[in-house]
Parts: sequence; C-alpha cells; structure tokens
Amino acid sequence: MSPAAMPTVEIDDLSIVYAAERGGTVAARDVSFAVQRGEIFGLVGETGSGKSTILRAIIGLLHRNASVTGGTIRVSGQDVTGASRDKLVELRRRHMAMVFQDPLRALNPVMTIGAQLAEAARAAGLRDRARIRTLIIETMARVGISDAQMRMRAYPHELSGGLRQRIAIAAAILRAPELILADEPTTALDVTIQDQILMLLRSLCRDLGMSVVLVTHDIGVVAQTCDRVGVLYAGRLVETGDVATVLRAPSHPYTAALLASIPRIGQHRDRLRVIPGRPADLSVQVDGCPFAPRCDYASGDCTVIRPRLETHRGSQMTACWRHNELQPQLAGAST
Amino acid sequence: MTAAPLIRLAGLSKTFPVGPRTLLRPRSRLHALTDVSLDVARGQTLGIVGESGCGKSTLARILVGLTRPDAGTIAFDGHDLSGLRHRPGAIARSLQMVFQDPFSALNPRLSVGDTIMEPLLFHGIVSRAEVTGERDRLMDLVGLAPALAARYPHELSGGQRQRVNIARALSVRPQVVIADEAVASLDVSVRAQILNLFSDLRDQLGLTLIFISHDLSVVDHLCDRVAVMYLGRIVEEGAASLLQAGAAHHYTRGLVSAIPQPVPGARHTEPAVRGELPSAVHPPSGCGFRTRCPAAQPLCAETVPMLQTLAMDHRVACHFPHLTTQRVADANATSPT
Repeated sequence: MSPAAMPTVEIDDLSIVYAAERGGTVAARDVSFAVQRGEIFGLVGETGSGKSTILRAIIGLLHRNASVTGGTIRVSGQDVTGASRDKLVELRRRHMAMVFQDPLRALNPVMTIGAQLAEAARAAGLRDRARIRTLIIETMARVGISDAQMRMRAYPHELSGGLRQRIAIAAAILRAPELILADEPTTALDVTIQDQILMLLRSLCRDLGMSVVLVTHDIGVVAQTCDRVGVLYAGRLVETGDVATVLRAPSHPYTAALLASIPRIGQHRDRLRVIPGRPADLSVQVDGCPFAPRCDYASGDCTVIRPRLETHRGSQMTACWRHNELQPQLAGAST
Repeated sequence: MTAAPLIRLAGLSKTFPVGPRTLLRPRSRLHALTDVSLDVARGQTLGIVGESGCGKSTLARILVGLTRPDAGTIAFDGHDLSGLRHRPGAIARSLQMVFQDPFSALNPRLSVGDTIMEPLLFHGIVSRAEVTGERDRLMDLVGLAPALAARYPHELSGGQRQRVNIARALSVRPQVVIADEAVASLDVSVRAQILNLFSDLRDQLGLTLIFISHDLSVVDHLCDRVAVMYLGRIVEEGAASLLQAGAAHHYTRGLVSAIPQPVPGARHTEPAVRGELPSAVHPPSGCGFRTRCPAAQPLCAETVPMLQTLAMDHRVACHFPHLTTQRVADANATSPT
C-alpha cells in the first residue's frame, strides 16, 4: 500500500481488560476502526464507555492493571500493541502526541512555557538552540498565540485555561506528528473558548494534514469538529459513519436515544427523552447486545446473540440486528 | 407587572480581595458582581447563564445567604434580607440550593435516609414519629427507590446522588430552589432525567426555580426567563425565547452561536467570540465586553452601558444592540425622524 493510501490509525478487533480480583472489567471489546490522513475521527460515549481507554491504548499509555487481550493497533503502519518499550518511545516521538482534558495538569507547573516547549523539541531530536526557538515561536503563532516572546517566559498558572490548552496543542504539534490524540480537550473550557479551540484543531488538520482522534461525551462537539464518528456503548463500537449521516439518520437505537436526550435551542419539548435503566455493568459478561436491556426495540435474538458491526448503508456501519427495519423509526426518534 | 416579585435584587455588588497582603498598598479587588438588579416572580423559572468568572455563582451564594454583598439590597417576599447576618429560620428554609458536584455536597458518612432526615428533624418539619414516612415520600418524589435509604453516597451513581441532593433541598419545603450547575457533571442520558425531574417538581410543587448554568441549551429548554451575565454584570435579560433568535447583546449572540449544536451542517468557520475573558481585577473601562465585541465603538470604552428596556420584558446593556428587522421597523414607526 502506498503511504498516502495507508490509514494513520488502524484498529482491528481490539479488546482491553482491566484486571480485578475476580474476573475483570472489559473496557473495550472487538473494536475496529480506521482513521485516514487529515481526518478527524470522533469517539463519543458516556462515562465508562471505554472511549478514553481506547485512546490511551493507541499511544501505549494504558494503566498498569489494563492490558490488550486481543486485536491490533497500527499507527502509520507500525504495530503499537506488540511494540517494545523503546519502539513505543520512538512511535510517540515521531508519529503521535496527546492532548489531555486538563491543560494545567498536563503542563509542568515549575517550568516556563518556553522551557517546556523546548524540552518537547529536544525530545524530537532537535539540538540547535536558535532553530528550536524559531520553531517554538512559529508553532505558538500557529496555535493562535500572538505575543509568543512574552508568553514563553510565563508559567502555566499565569495563563488562562484557553491559552494553556493552546500551549498543550503547540507542544503536541511541535514535532509535526501524523496523529493527535485528544481526550476531551475542551471539556474544562468555557463555550466561547471551546469554540475557538475546536476551530483551531480543524484548521491544523486541514493545513498540516494531521489526523485526530477526538474523545468526547458531547455529540455537539462531534458535529462541529469531526469528519467521522464512532459511537461507543459499554466498550463496544455500536455505530460508525460520516458525522452528517449519523446525526441525520442514526442506525443504532443507542445513537438515536442519545441524540434525543440532548436539549436543543429552539426545539421545545415538555420532556426530554430518557434512556431507561442503568449503564451496563462491564464486569458481567453478556451474550447479546449490551444495549438490549435498555433498548425500546429489543426482540428475542438481541439478548442472545451479539450483533457485529456491519455495513448499514454506504460507509455507515452498525451493530444492531434490526437496523434495516428500524431505520425510519430511528431517524424520527432522534430529533 | 401587577404582583410584587418574590425576589427583588437591587444594585448588588460584591468584590473579593486578591493578591498578596502588603503594608503600604491596599490589596487588589476582584469585581465579582457589579450593580446587579433583578426581579424573580413567584413560580417563575429563571436561568442565569454566563461563562466562568461572570459572577453567577456569587449571585447564587448571596441569594441563599452564604455570602453577603458589599452593596445593594436583597428582598424576599417583601422582607429586606441584606442587613441580616443570620436569616430567620423560615426565610432560610424558603431558599434552598442544589450544588454542582453531587458527591462533595453529601456527607460520606451519612446514609441516604439520614441525609434526608437530618434537616427534617433539625428544622422540626415533621415529628419523630412521622420522619421515616416523610423520608419515603421525598425519596419517591425524586424517583429514588425506598431500598436506597440504607445506602451511602459512594454506593450511588451520579444521577442518584443528585436526586438525594434535590430531596434534601426539598425536605424543608422551600419556595425557591437555586440550582448551581446542578446537571453540569452528569452524563447526557442522566442529565435528561434530572432536567425532567426539575420540570416535574416545579409543576407539582409550584417551585420558583433559579437555574444557573453555562449551558444555554439547558436554560432554553427549562426556563421561561433568562439573565445573561458577563464580567459581574447582567448584560441582557428577558424571556428565555430570546435565545432562539431575538438576542440583542452581542455577547449573548456570540454565546448562542458558540454552542456546538448536534446538527449536521451547522458549522461556522470563524470563532463566534474572539479573544479571552478580561481580568475581573482590572476590568476594561466602559462596557466589559468591548474588548471582544464585533460592534464596539469609541463610546463603549467611555461609558458603561446601563440595562435599558428594549421592548416589553426585554432589557439589554449595550450602546449598539443588535436589532432584528422587526424591531428596527417598530422603532422607526414610533420615532419619526
């Protein structure tokens, strides 16, 4: 395959288990998706859906008690799951970087912004001090920080949340990686600042050809930012597709229910749609569809046999036995 | 308006000292609230929106008496509360608060049942003999199964914890419930349940609800009035429906378009509001929003715009408000040139 056609991220049948005293918690099960060059892929789900765990697995930063029990992850064609420690360091240095939710915790409080960015540049192998300085100032300008010279002398606590997140993004793109992994990068920010940061991510992808995997709980953020989306429920990908298609015509009952539970400006309903029941208990193995106990449309087979992700229409994929017959109802139920 | 408002705030201001203590210079002061005046009618649901640092939580704390204002008055049902160090029990009970983080707002060593029964007994709402019955009634009211009474906060989900907080707030039979970002930390599907619970309780109990949130979609869904705050001041106030198209303040308009709507094809290419929030210790001269405003003129740096009535029930603090075409036509019709 030519490098241009090769996806930046390829995940096949990934399963991740958190070890526990008895059994264990399956945080991800048989997850497969690919992210193309220049594409922003949104991973959306609620607490415990496995979205952050999958993101950490891609960059090889799983918690000590978590392990990949099946499947493969490839970044720019190179295997992550079986990589040695040195190989992982090399992959992170050259090919990918992560942006975290809380920029204050991601930055070192006792180092100036300039020193931290210089450290990131040196880690990528740059040695020439003048070149590092030029690169830092250029990168800060690219993430929308105008007075770079002055900001380089500042400490993280002296900056606003929005500026800190811009610095964290600058540190991530400094080495021009092919892949940015962003874990709820705007959740801690105000809406007007969130709007600015999401727009920055989009322009970076467009101009630099980077790919982004964006983890969020907010479907609105996906709608504003991503090209494609994967919806996670209880560690399983239940639907993937183009953002516009999934929002307009969801093929999985969970996606439709999630969309219907969001209040929207100008759309008055006396009551919001509620998903009945409780989130799935990940420590209990279920045979059927994990969403079946809460699904309005579940029938006999749903609790017995687990549906695999399969093509619904065009590039839209769904893990639901009844997706074809439910299509008209789901499109109506989601708004 | 004919009936007197249940709550009337007039000219509230609050500053907090910040920075190091020095012998020679007084400490800098952070302007959390500046000249806030607001009426809340009985039975109304008021949404207070704004971003971090706009003063909305300070306003909530002043309402329930956790913070005292530096200047201005607060009247509840005709009683002036501003000079009181301790509010009389009946008034303290009338105004109850539900906080953002449902876990830290609960005592980890008290079971759900004890958490709800404590204020019932302390305030003598019911007799000891009736207290378990009242506990069960309150739990039923907020949708908690009776079996959960023996559980502790760490054994509950986020949504259940917030239901306990709501039950505890309701236990003293308040007239006003102030919810400060009460759904901000909840997952989408759980948030929908709690929002539905708030609207049910309001209808069943005739509560006056003050809903403080950074999320305009939530406020538009639940509230009938809205006050938008920026840098310690109310910049726009009116019917909640103004959020849909009728906002006149440029900040409100920017805030509305900055919300990521879950709708395909609704993307914009330019940021809705440019720049960052100015310092509340050294706020800009004139209008606080002028440093980020697309319509700012020299006048905006000179004079603070006062809240002025734009139309029935719609007030805005802007020298150059955005007017919809309908409103321009109305204005022209009434003022011949």
